[in-house]
Amino acid sequence: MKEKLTGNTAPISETAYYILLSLMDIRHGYGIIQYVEELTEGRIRLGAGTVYGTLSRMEKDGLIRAIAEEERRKLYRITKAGIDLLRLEIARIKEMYEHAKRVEGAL
Amino acid sequence: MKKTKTVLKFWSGAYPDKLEKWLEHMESIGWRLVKVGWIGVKFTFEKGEPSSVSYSLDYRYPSDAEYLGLLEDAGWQLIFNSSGWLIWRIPYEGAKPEMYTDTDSLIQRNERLLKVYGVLMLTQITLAVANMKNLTIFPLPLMLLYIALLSIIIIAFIQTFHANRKLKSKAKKL
Repeated sequence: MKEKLTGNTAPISETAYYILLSLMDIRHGYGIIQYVEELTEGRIRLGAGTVYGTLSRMEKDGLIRAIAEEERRKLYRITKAGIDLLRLEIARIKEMYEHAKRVEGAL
Repeated sequence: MKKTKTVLKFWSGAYPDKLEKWLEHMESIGWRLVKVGWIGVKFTFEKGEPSSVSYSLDYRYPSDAEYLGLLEDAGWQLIFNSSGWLIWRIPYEGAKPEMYTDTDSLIQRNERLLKVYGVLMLTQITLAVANMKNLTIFPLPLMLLYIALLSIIIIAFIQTFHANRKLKSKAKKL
């Protein structure tokens, strides 16, 4: 997973991408699910099990950090390494978008 | 007094969707799951209105407070939790909620399981070999029971291994 998430070229999954985006602000697991559903107007409804597993892996990889614990909820925020990865990913998506625009007219 | 019924159902952790689909079907014809007993094979249903319920059979040992809390926050109700196996349900309207929306998580679930089965097999086989010369002191029924249990673990390992290979090749496509 580390390879997958922090490698320079491999794109991260849509799940990982949206979780990282969400964690630009402090959120807990369910907060992430709600935020992503709202942001994508209901297109992406992340499974709770998927979010739990991805958060543990991202924490292990140092992309996010748990900053507080309240009752049974952990609150997370993105780390410097997470932001670096997000930046790479955004650059990749921009490039893809530019390429799409080039051919769009011919579709 | 509500009408209830009890069904014995054997399932394999390698194919969680089989058990999930069966439970979802029962709900759709008005049988609501209220209790699971006897190491997870005795299912008690209560008669009610047909409803849409999504089920999930998960494996997590140990299951930590954050996992349980996050799933409950998302509306899942825990109906069975024993020796690492958890059965969750969530009633819904509209789009069906899924516990896992990526293939990676399912592959990892299977890998956790394979590790457990692997350790069980190794320790059991080691014990069996170590006790080989004392075999005669074990009564036959006990021996048969032992062989049956070991076979179940081996079958579960093979099934899970195959199911996981399928998932992995699915994950590779496109």
